[in-house]
Formats: sequence, C-alpha cells, structure tokens
Amino acid sequence: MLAEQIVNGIVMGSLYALIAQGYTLVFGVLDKLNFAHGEIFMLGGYIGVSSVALGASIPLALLLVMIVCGALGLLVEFVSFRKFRSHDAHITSALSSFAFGLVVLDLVQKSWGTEPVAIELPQTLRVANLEFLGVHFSLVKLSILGIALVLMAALHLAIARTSLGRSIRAVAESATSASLYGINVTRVIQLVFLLASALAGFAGVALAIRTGFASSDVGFTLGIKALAIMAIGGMGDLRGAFLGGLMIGVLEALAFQWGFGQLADTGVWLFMIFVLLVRPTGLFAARSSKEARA
Amino acid sequence: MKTIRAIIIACLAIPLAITSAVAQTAKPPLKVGVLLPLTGFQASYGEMYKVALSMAFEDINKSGGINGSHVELTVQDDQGAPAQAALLFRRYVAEGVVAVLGPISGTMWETVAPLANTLKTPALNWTALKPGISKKPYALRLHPADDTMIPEGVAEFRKKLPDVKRVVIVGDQKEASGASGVEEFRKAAQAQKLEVIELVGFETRTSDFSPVAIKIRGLAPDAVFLSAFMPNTLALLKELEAQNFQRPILANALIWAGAFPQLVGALGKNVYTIGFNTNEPAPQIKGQPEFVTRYIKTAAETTKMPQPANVANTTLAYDAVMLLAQTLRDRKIDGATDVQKARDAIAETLSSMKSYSGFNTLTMRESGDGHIQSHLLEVDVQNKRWKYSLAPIDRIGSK
Repeated sequence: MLAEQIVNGIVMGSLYALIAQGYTLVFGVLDKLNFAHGEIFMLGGYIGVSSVALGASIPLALLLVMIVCGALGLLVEFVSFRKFRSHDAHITSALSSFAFGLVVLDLVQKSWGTEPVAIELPQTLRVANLEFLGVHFSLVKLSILGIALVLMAALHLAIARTSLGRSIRAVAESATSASLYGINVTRVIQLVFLLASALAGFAGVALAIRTGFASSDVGFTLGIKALAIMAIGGMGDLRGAFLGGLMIGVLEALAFQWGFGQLADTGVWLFMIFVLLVRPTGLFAARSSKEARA
Repeated sequence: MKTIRAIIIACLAIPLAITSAVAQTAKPPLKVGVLLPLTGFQASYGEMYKVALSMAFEDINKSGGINGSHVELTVQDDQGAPAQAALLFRRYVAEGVVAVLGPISGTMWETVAPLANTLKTPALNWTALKPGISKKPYALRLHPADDTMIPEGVAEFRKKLPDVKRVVIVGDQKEASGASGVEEFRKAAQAQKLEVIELVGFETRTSDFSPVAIKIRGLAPDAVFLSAFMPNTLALLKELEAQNFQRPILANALIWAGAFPQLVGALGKNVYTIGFNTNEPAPQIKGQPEFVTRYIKTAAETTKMPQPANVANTTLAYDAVMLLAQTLRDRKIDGATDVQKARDAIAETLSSMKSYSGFNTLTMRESGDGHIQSHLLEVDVQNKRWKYSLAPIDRIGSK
C-alpha cells in the first residue's frame, strides 16, 4: 500500500512539476510571475474534455490543447507582459495577468458551466489493471507519468543543448546583453510563453484524464500549489520545479496514508515557509537564483 | 400640425400622469437580500437555489406583493467565502433589507448567524447541515441538521444493507458541514453498533483523491460513510472505481442537492444519500408535482445546470420565501414599516414558530433548526435523479 501511494504521488507530482515548470520558465526569463498560468492549465482540461467528447482521440486532443493553450500564452505575453518588461513593473504585470486569468475563468464557467465536466474514457483505461510487486497501476497513470517525464526531459535538453535554449538562457541572464548579441528578445520571450502554456495545457488534459473531470476550480488550487512548488524547488530553476513537484506529490500521498490527509494542503504551505526560512533560494537552486537559471 | 402636436403632448402626458398616480398610491418596496455563492467552488449550488428563490418571489409579486408592497429581491454573490458573506450581510443591513435569505453552507452560516443577532436582522437558511450553529431569535435554519438527518439515514441504510458491519468514515474536514457530518456519522455508526475502522479526512480543495481511494481500499470496509461536497465526491468515486472498489457508499445530504445524480452516471450505482425530497412527484403534497415540473423547466431555460435539474431541497428554499412572506403578511409589515421594527417582528414570529407546512412539513427545534423526517435515497442512474431507496412502508417514521 505504501509503495502504491508513493508511485501515485510521483504521478501527481509530475503534473505539479509540469505546471511549476511553466511558472519557472517565465519567471526565469522575465523575473515576473504569470498569474494567468493556472487558468490556462485549467482551460486545457476543458478543451481536452470537449475535444474527446467531439470524437477526437486522446493524442489529437492533447495536441490541440497544446496548440490552443500555447497560442493563449502568446496572448498573455502580449497583453500582460509586453508593455511591462521593466523591473519596476512587477505589480502591473502580475495584476494584468491575474485579471487575464480571471477572464479565462469567467469565460470557462460561462461556456461550460460551474459543474465539473466528465471525460468519457474506456473502463480499461480508468481501472487499475496492471500489477507489479503488489502495486496496482492504471494505464492512464503510467502514460501520464511517462509523457510528462518525456516532455520535461525534452524541455531540459532544449534549454541546455540547443541554440534556442542558449538564447533563452541569455535573455534570462540579461535581456539587454542578449539583444546586443543580436538575439531577438521579444521572440525568445514569446517562445517561453508558448512553451510554458503548452505544457500547462498538457497538464490540464492529463489531470482531467486522471481524475475523470475537468473542473474550473483547479486553476486556482493547483496553480497556487505549483507556485509554492516553484518556490520550494528554487525560483526560476527548472530542475527545482521538477524535483519539488515530485516531492510535494509524494508528501501529499504519504500524508493521506498516515492519516493527515486533511492537512495535506496546509502542509505544502508550511513546508514552503520552512524551506524559504532555511534556504531562501529554494531546495535545489545551488547558487543564486539568477545564476541557477543559466 | 396641431394634431401632431396634440399627439406628442398626449404621449408625454399620459405616462407622466400614470406614473404620478402610481407614485401616490403604491407603497415603497419591501427589500429582501439573498446571499448565494454564484462563483467559486459552490457556484452550482448557488445557481440551483437562485432558480427556486426567483420562482417564489415571482409568485409573490404576481399575486400583488405583500400588504400592498412589491418585494424587491437583491441577490449578492458571497463566493462561498465566510468573510465575503459577513461583509455582504452588513451591506444588506445598511441598505435596509427586512431579512436575508442565506448564506447556504455550514461555514458561512456559522459566521453569519451570530452577526444576524448582533445586527438584529433576521436570516433564514434552508441548506446548512452542521448542528448547533443557528442562533435564535434572528438566525434560523429550516433545514434539518446532520444530527437528525444522519441517524435517520444510517438507520434506513442498515435496514437496506444489514450485512454491513465495518465502515470507514471519509470526509471534508475543513468545511463546517463536511466536518460535522464526519462526527455525526461516527456517532450514528456507534449507535447502530457498526465498527468504524478509521476516519479518513481531506480538505475541501483537495484535487487528487487517489491517495484517499488507495487508503480506503486498503482498509477493506463493508461500506464507506462519506461527508463531502459533490465535486469531491465525484472525484473520489472515480478514484474508487480505478481501485476496483465496489462497496456501498452512504453520503450525507451534501450530495443530495446539486447535480450529482446527473453527473455521476454508472458510478452512482452503489451510492446512497439522505434527503427528504426527490424529483419523483409526490401527489400527496399539494403543489409539489407542479413545482417539480416548473423548476426543471425554469432551470433548463435559465441556467446551464445539467438536466433534468435536481429538485432536492429547492422546495425548502421556496418554502423559506413563502414562510417569510406569510410572516410579513401576518405582522402587517409593508415597505413603509420602520425597518428595525419589521426585523424585530419577523424574528419574534419565526423564533416562536413551532411548525410550518409548505412543500415540506417541518417542526422547529429549540436549537433554531428545523426537523423534517429524512430518508435513504439512491441514484436512479437511468433517469439521472434520486429515488427513495426503501418502499414507503419500510421507511422509518412513515405513517
């Protein structure tokens, strides 16, 4: 049972990590928080559920969601960040993106209603039908974990090994210096928003598939938790967001196993406060946060 | 030209004359405030009650208002947040309402009930489940609390499923009604000599229920007693299905209201709840079949609620308005009555009320809560509605 809880926590943690990496990407490049991110993640779930309901296969629905959410990310960048790039515009961009998120939430509730919307999946996908060393798995959970890990690994490699990744790291280090080297800073920032939002969209569909519902509530609940994970892992640090996500997922699962389920959410915040007190740069950011992004 | 001028003057003068005449004869409106969660986690509940309340106020105003006054209804969104509910309640008091209907959830009612007494403004609730949080004389709840509903429901559950011996109690430990339901289930299980293997708690905003489901499966109970709002219940059921857990689940009335029977689908086949009304017509109650038909039609026309809308305790929301209207009529209160005198008179009448018969027949307890005999309900999966689980003759308290 304990092993099953841990595996389950890792699956959930991988979704947390995906959302947290979206926050981290934007924060790493702009030093600003995109508060619309959680609601784009939530919207991903609804688009995915509706696509499946209209007959799309799950891979097609995932692709569609990543495209739509990526495009929405570009819009967020244009509306809430393009004009507020200066370092003294943190509050303006935060407020603007927060408002953008509220508009998305309101439109979702007006379009799909306030009830959770169920996704119809074959029972073979939903039920835990695989067993290994006494641990029960469902195909859905394993698939979500697998794809999430592949996506995050691909993102890490893209940032670390490609010229595009070098451009992103250069802008993260200093947008002014990067522009002097001929990097189109606006394009890089747009790309970051596109990637972050596409990942959030994927996470939204994955959560809807995993829980069986798209719910308008998750943009806030999971979005804010992902923010905490980013802080725990290290602001602007992709590896930190990944490891922090997995850690929180497992800790939550263990809290339920050991009878502290009602404190799981509070525990995340207490843990964040504790981490920030003893290690203000986060658990996994070895150097200063600015350096860690490079 | 003269004719045209005469027509223009007549067009302007006639409405003015009518308005002037009405202004001289009509009394000021009676203001009633409503607090509902129209956004946020409980928005779907707010939407369902808004339909019933609007129907009731529409009926009152169509029949000429109260003592010559039109009833002016204002609905404010408390977002399901106690602080917001308290803020809006204060605003209503300042705006001169004679009474406030709502807020609906236990946590919010617990916050607003003392405030209603402090500000000496009547508040009526028709939904909250946590016992002991109503405060006479100004804050009264018509709905039965979990300390009567759950024992009645568990007793019928035992009658229906006598082989159940060991249970796990699962619940939302953050929301007042959720937490109190857990405690009342514990007491009821004890009274029915059921073994409670463990209490498994979670928070209202829990988004991943798989750890809860894994834990429940590991405890291998004969049945689960559940106290949680609908979204959490639906999510938990999905996870229990994923864990191949197929034991009966008895949930308190938190899932009775709302769109649970329409949304749960085949997952609802082992789910029971506790309530005192269903979408099934009850011809023995005057007007109930017509209300059910009208409510479903109105909800379909004016909301995005899943169809057919679940009537559940919306009948009690309607009753709450009618009870308030009857009190206002009896105490000869109209829009011209001094607001504080009107509030005091309403509180005096309602707090001394022993019983009321509308669509529901309720008796008032000393605690300021209503009592309506509750029964075990189960999901009619095919018709997407609740149905009584036991035949009338087998129901506890049936005559």
